[in-house]
Amino acid sequence: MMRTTRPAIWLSVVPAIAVLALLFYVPLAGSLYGSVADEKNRFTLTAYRSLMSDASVRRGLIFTIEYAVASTTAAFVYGMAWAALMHRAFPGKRWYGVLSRAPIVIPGVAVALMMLTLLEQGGFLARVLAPLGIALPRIVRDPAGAGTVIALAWKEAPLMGAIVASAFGSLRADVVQAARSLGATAWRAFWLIQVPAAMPGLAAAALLGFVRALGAFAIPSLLGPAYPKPILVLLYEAFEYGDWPRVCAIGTVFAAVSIIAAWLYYRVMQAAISRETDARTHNARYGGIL
Amino acid sequence: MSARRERASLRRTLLSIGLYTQLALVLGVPLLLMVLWSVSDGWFPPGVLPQDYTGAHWRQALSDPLLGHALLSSMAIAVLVTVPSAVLAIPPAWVMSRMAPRTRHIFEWLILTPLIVPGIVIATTLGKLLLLAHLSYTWAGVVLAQLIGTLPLMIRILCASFMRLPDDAIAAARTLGANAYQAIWHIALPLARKALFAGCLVVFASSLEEFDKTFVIGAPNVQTLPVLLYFRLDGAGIVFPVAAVSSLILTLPGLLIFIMAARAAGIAGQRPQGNGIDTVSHFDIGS
Repeated sequence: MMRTTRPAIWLSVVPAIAVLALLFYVPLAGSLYGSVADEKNRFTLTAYRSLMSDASVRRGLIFTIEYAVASTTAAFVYGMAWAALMHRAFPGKRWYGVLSRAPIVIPGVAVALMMLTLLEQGGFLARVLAPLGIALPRIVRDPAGAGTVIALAWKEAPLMGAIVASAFGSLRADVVQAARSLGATAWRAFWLIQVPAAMPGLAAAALLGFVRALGAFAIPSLLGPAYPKPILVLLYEAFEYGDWPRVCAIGTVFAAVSIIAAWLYYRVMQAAISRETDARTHNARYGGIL
Repeated sequence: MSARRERASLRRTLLSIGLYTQLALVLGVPLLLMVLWSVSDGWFPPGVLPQDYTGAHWRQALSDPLLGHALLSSMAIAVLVTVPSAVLAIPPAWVMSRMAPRTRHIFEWLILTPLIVPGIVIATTLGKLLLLAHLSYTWAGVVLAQLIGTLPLMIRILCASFMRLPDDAIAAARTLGANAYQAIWHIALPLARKALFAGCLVVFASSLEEFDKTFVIGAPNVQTLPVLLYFRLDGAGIVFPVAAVSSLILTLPGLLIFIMAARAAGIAGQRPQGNGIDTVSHFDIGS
């Protein structure tokens, strides 16, 4: 084991730390400070109180949580199915695995355009369904946020599949084999052994997806209704108006939620990785039999 | 026995057909719609397909000064972001890869956080600082804002790759008289050059598609491709063929890099998780 403890090495780390500290952590701390201090630097909760008493913020926050929960749920169900099917062998599996993950790299703005051409009134889906006598309700820029939910779920689902698959992949194969050899069907083994064992990873996947959906900007602002506005659109507007206390308050709340989520996600994934390493050494030692 | 095997093989084929059909409907149709819009010459209801086709939109795109300028800005900013990300990421990635796990975990979390906090939150909280520094609405401001996302990405990729390097190789170089820098420069970096290249590609692609921070810090002065497309989609008068062309130009580089990365991972025979590129696509926080 070689350790680089020379001061010169530590010196070369300074620029990267400085960039992240100055551009990310210092502004974040500033925003926390700005959210609880008035012009004379006295402690105050006015910024948070004015947020809570503003009906458009309350509606916007509820609306944001609603579409984030809905899209995360949809993406999670898809992700579970995807991970389960990727467990099986079928012709063309490798390319299916690659292509089905493509939405991860398609920019949100482009996803918004796709969903507009597909779902808007008079869009492709409406034209295909019209001869069948089916009239679509308003899906895009609708008050219920259906367009936002569909677009976010479409973009997030493959990512969810990948994380769910890695949560299942880190489990020890021998326990399932034991259950199967004791007579459990694949279905029972899946629900009674694999799902409970993978639960921390699954929860982490859902949490990460939820935070990402909460933090989405381009898709909800392009496909969402004029009212209620997504909370981050309100944050952007407060920034444009120069309403600094409000920017700080919304920013602090979101940053706190994200940092906690990052920590939980990281903890769970770290545990999964060390379990995977254990499982691999175990399988190597006992030939995957025991 | 053989009848059973045949049935299993039939099931696999049916599964494959089902999954590829789903892929065609869910991914293929929306992509095809964009391509059709970009070459459509009149597509009025109730037509399910365009009335006629034309290459005019693509030809116009070539001479569209706004689009050309946005493409150039995007490319230039992506280069300006990729180079410092790569250079600055090497030392911390190396130091982290040689740390005791307990210490490394703290740093990994500190580096994961900027990738999870929403871009709009990062950009608005950074906005005041950049305003004070007179960097708002400038290229420099946009590059700095994007670095918050790309530097952690690069550190993650390089650190994962450095961690796979055998300690023996480095130790051998050190015993033979190389100092730490020489060991990194002559041994670690050449061995990790694939990860460095992959990291540069991923960072380049994520800079090209970055929207949230660029929009808050740069718009409307700095117009990258996603920002231009956003303005073209925001509002009532969307010109679909024009928007489809810019959207395809925006989407293609990322898709190509993604497929290249997937092929590279396949050739190397690595598991789908665990190669640097894939870890990254998990956190490639697309806007």
